[in-house]
Amino acid sequence: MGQSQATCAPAVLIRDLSKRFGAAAALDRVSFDVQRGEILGLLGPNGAGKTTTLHVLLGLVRPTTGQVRIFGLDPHRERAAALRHVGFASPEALMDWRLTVEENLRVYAEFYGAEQGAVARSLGVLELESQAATKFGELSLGQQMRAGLARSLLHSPELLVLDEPTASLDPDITDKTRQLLLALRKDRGLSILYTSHDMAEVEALCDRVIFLHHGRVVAEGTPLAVSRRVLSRADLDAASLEEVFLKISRDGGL
Amino acid sequence: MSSLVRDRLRRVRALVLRYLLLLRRDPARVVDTFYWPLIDIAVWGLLTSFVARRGANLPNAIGIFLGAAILWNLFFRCAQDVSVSFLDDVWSRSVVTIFASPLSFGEFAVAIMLLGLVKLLFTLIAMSVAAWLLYAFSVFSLGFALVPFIGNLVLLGWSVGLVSLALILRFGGRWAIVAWSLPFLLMPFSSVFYPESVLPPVARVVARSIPANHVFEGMRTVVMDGRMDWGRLGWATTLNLFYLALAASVTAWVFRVALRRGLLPKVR
Repeated sequence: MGQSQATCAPAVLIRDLSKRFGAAAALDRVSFDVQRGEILGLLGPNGAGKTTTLHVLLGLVRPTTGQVRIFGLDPHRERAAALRHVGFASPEALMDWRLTVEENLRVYAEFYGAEQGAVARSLGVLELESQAATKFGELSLGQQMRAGLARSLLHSPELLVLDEPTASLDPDITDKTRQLLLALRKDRGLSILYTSHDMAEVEALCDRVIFLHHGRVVAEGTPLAVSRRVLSRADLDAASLEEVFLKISRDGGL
Repeated sequence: MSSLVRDRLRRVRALVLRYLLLLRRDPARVVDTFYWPLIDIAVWGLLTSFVARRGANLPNAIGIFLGAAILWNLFFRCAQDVSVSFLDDVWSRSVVTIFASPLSFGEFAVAIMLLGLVKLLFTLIAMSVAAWLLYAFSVFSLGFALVPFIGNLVLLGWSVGLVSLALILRFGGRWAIVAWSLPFLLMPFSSVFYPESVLPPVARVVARSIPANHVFEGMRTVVMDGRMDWGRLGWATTLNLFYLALAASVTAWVFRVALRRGLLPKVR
């Protein structure tokens, strides 16, 4: 990968990505990009292929066919170089429950080669200073998620991959998290690939959305454009992703 | 040193430090490292005293049994630490978090093998002190031979540990019991507390293919005859290098299978 190609490559490039587990197709020729500085919502009902897409992107699952790139780098062949650009948080991605939040973050700061002071800065951004010495296993689910977000920001990544990051958060923290993500995008030009079942949140946050259903992309565009097309209502003047979600879940949206 | 190597070393060091922090935070880990080895020293020491009092014709019985108990424990700890370290991540559901970072599986494997080495030192010190205090036996009386003996048992422990890790990765944490039983599968053929010559002929053939058998035979030669059996040492080392390469290849292959089948995020 040449330097010039890497510097102009999109944050995420996925082309004709297919993943089969035995006879079952988890992903079927999925293609999309996340542009630099863009917040993209990857949506769909349970089992649509969102998490599999994220796992392939993070090098945790090898694709059957297709191309995956992070800033032009293949996370399966250039693992360390590609993943250094990425921060990842998910309710399924926990840290060691016996270590304190600060100890866990120190370890991950080393994994990513984060700069000095990164742990304190991340704890501050997520307002977790008072929990720094608490064992990770003693945190509430919401606090664990915030600690995961703090971990994902340690190395000042250029891409955040967030799998339902606000699933266990109360409305106040959810709102703060949303403001934080928007601020990060504004200040650092951060790109965000985001999954959520909270459609109101997606409308508030995402520049573009992609709906997956049975492993296929069934709708793509701005929240408003997708709402108009899937709901066949050209007169809509505000996105209605909740309705889109229900329609796609029930009849594939087509 | 290139930045690539420096980055790799930094990640390996971070993982080793994390597991060492766990030693401090999780008292249950102390049981693994100290409790069972010390129980072994006590039991084998008492057995040896009993044998000696009955006037059995077994010169240097204390050296044979306690030396064997110490060396076997080092092998067992080394094998077990590899799989337990991985299980720590499985149980804390941090496998995805770890492997979504720049850390590679190779770096992970190296880190948990190095960790085994560090914990082995703790176990060696604890058992040596206990054997000296309780039975006036110094494992260091084996002299220079101790280094290649322990080195070979570490290599074998890593091989068995990697195979255990591969089993857990492929079949899940419920296979931990099977994985932990592997060292005991080798025990009857390893001539730990008795010479190879007492084994039935077929078992002797199997024993000769197991590096630990050559290590324990070699240890007895040092204790009883006061000389080093270089032939045994050569066999042990050759077999160990072969098995370690094989175990590393099998584990790397299982990791690739896990990536293909999507097992890594699901391992429980």
